[in-house]
Amino acid sequence: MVEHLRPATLSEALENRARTHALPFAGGTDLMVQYRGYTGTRTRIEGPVLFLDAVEELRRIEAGPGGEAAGPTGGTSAGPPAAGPRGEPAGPAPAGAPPPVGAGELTIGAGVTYSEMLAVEELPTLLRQAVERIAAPGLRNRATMAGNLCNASPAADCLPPLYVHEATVRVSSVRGERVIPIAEFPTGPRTTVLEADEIVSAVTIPHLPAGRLYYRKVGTRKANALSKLSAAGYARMSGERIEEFRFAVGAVAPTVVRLSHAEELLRGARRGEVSLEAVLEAAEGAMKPIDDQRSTATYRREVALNALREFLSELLESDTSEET
Amino acid sequence: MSAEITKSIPRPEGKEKAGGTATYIADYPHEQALTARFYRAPFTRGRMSSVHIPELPEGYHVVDYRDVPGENHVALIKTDWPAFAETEIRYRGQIILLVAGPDPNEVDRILGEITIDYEEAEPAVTLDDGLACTGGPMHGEDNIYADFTLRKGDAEAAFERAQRIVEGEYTTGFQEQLYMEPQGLLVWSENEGSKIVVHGSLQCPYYVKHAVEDAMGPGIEVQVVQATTGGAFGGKEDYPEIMAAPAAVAAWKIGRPLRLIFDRAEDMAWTSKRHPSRTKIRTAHDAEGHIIGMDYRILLDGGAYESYSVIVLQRAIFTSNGAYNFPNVVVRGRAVATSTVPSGAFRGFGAPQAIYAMEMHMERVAREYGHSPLELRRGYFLKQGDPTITGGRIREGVIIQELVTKAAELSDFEAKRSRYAGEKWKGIGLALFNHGCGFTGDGEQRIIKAKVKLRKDAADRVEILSANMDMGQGPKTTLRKVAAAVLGIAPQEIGYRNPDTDRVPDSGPTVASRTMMIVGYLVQEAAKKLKAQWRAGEEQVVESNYTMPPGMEWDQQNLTGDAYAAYGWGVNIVEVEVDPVTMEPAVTGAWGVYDVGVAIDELVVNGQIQGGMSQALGFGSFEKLEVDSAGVFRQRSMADYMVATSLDFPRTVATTVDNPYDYGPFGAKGMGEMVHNGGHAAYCAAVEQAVGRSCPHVPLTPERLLEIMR
Amino acid sequence: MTVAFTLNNVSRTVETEPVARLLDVLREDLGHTGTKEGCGEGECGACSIIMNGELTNSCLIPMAQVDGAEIMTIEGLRESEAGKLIIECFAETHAVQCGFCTPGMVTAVWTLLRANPEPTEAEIRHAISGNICRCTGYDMIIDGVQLASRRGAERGGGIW
Repeated sequence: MVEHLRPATLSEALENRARTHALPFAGGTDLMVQYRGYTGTRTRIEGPVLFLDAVEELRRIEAGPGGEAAGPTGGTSAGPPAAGPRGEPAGPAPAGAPPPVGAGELTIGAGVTYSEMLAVEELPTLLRQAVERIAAPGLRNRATMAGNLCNASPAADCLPPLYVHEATVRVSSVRGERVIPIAEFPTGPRTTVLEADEIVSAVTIPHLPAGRLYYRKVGTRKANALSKLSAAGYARMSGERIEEFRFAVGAVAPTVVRLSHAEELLRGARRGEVSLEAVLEAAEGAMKPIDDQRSTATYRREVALNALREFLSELLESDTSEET
Repeated sequence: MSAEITKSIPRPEGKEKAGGTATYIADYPHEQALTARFYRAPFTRGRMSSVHIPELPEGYHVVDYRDVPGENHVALIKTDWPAFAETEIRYRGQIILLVAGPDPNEVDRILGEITIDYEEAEPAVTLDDGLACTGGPMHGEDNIYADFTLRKGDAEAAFERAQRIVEGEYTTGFQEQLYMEPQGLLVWSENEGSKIVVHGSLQCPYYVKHAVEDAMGPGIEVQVVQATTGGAFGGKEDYPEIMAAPAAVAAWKIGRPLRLIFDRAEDMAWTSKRHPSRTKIRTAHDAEGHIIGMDYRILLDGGAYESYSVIVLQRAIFTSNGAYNFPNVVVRGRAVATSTVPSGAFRGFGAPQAIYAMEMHMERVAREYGHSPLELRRGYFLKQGDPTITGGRIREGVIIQELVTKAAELSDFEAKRSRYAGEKWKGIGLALFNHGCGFTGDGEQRIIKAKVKLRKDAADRVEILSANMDMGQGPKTTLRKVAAAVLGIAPQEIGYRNPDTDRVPDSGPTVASRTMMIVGYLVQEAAKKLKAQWRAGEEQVVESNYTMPPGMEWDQQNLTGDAYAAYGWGVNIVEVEVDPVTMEPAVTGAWGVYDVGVAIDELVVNGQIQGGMSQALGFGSFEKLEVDSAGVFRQRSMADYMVATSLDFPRTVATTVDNPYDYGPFGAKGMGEMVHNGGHAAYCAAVEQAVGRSCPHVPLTPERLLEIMR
Repeated sequence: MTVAFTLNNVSRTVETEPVARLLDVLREDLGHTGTKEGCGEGECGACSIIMNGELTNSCLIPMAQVDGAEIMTIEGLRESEAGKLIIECFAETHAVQCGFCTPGMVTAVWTLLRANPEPTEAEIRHAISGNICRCTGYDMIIDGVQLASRRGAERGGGIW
């Protein structure tokens, strides 16, 4: 029989993980497929399993204080500070002083299901749009965002919005906690920085100041579909100037990518001075899509660029930046 | 929709299915049964020299071709497909061994430890590889399973005097039936091995019986019983035979019941699919643009064994001209051997491929000449008495004009068509088609010889004894209604069990849109007999036998005469809006208007129309099934092979126009297949208008559309 | 391991593997064959059951997580007034063809109508988007849900 533990507390879970390096198992909607055998045969999980669904601390959703940057989130044990330079992607800081990142933040425990997330009013719109389109109701009732992160598919639907929000991943072990910028968490398809004694305990999503949002999931069909690619964007105008621009694309490279060079060209640029050609060229440089059973490299690249083009034209052709 | 019988009744088997009490094959008690699995070829093409089997624990068995007491083949149309491979392997996944034992995990382990020695040959994966005999021919000398030519008038002369020639090439891909219930059988031997019993998810109990009889040889009795079947769409016409022949041999040898239930992955990877096709059409036009001749050439990818390719090809070429009467036509069809899973039966049986090419070509002609696609078509509609491509006549009254008019009205076709000419990314398209009901030519009379019995017991309860089964398409509702209406009793009072070859006569397979028209007519005839002879309180059995409708003629040698006694007719209209960012077409409207003779049950018929539209739209859009260089499907799970969810397509507006047929029950004709004939073509026609380019491929994925637009 | 849970309001205890699928325990150990296996990977919804009040795919649930849970399957739902009504409406509207997806579909609809007794067509389509039906094109399933919703309302709505 497979050794297993289904602890009720985080400390018990971490102790077990440290001792046995057990497979962390939250909703299991990826793992049960990954380890499934032929019908009628046993599930092929050989090593110990650490079921996390009963850990109360992991099931919390904490809304940070609104209106200003910062502060540890109330209630959660050891919530990371919300402000600070964490989470900026590789590349220079935004031109000019960054605005307060803050209408606060939202911390979602690793055991929280998608359905529970969708019930949270403060869930950022981009993330809501992504989560609403993941699988179907029955799956969303079990699956977790932390699981989606740890599965580390380049097509993981939660990731582009999290990259745009510059979310952080809180990783816990008996040794303590690490807070990892989302872009540094996956290291490639199916691989992450998670150490053998660690589990993801929460994801913290800073709210973005009002701006224009963009989300596209291009699935293999309209619902209950895996993504051929997905894209999330955020931009804020200050008069005629693009104050902030972020764009993340999934399934066009081994991990989700932010289009950092394209973003740089846009940040601080004035409407009318944007060279679309240069932006698209920079964007294309960030992508290394592949052909697979779901789509083609060409399609992924072209549609990602179309999406960027669409977002830019919405942004640059509108009169004012709209409320999110 | 005027006939009294058309008024719908609740599905008699609906509650037991919805409530989970209906027994599908995997639901049978199986404590005594061993788990059976196939060991399949791990390479695509070549010869095996030896098989290495690990040491078997007690109670575990391996069965191969040497254990076959009868013929080591699966009797389909031909007998080229071995039950167990001997030395030659023609496709990856071909059945080599059957492994059985009490613990499924142990069986799984044994399968993983079997190895074989083999020499590989170069596979011929694509149609072109097959035609070029890559790696040497695998079938005959040229890899051609069948090559038929049909002629009407003088096409060559028409092309000589043509003022203009329009030509195009149209292709369709593989399609997976994706019945929701995977394939499964429970097989055992009885009476010290003198009888084989097969229960399973299957369409054709007598086909399975014949296949098992061949494998078991003379002197062994075979009984086949249909379990409640969770969808089939043709996928359980040929494949249960492929499973049953080796499974029966194994059950007989081992002497224990075997339970062979496919995992979805095995089902998707190795069961038969719809034949891919490539069709070249040239039409000859006179100075006014009228079509004066057509040259139509279709290739079907038959896969590694012949299976049903020859008759699928016949259905394709007989349906090639669709709803039209062109004066001078030559049609050539060829079915080609390739190194992929043998292609097989799928709803429509060659017609969805043939109609697709014909209808897309009509769109091309309309575009080239700037005609309205609807008005262009109206000029060529078949009428009663018109000659068919096989030299027969259209024997029935044809109401395609009415169907088109009604469909155009319901969908506001003409107005939308004009409006979308000025609105990029929006389009509306149509497709017309017919579908011959029942077996081709004299097949019903010469091969099937269908019989139906009605039995009345001493309590005056009436039971239909027919080999035809309900896979969801509704005969448990409709055949009951036919008998009930004649006898004047409630349909729910009529007994109709899942067929058991020990109890029911051979009324033929549940295929070819024949169940209602052919078998339903026999039920009606039998019911009339029973009514005439009714003796209350006595057990009575009456029988009716198929006879060809008077005046129908067919020459199977030359494929000439009346290919079908009657046709169903249909019009599909589809409306789309293409997303210019992603090139995804969204279907915004779908209509289906049909002549099914008389609908025996309005909801059964509309359910076929709507379900067929959903499958055809899937075939047209996202049901992508590709093969890799080893001839293996790249989409191997329901996460990768897409069928429609509730959010993909809108409702289909479904309706029928009555046109009673003399030799169908209460005027009914067949319709279960033709609902898959045109939706994909109408979809592509709509996308063509939306993007202003030719889109001659299905599935027309966004990836393909992007390529077309680049 | 020993797993104790409630199945259709009855306490049950089974001896099983922690990573055994709930689907297999229901079908093989407990004889509840109304729940079907269509794909084994959470894509088709034929194995839908209700776990702690929520729609779930039983092919993805390991038994360790079932310990202490409340499970409802079609075997329980069909005994409830709400379940009977849905089943009756499905038969009437021909929401059932081959029937293999139908117990799972009824289960999804049961959870929908309990939360939202008068859903719009769009809400119905979302609620059943994880339950694949290859036969009907969904039109008549939606008709069945709408009929059940109307009849439920006629009965005062308390049925859900």
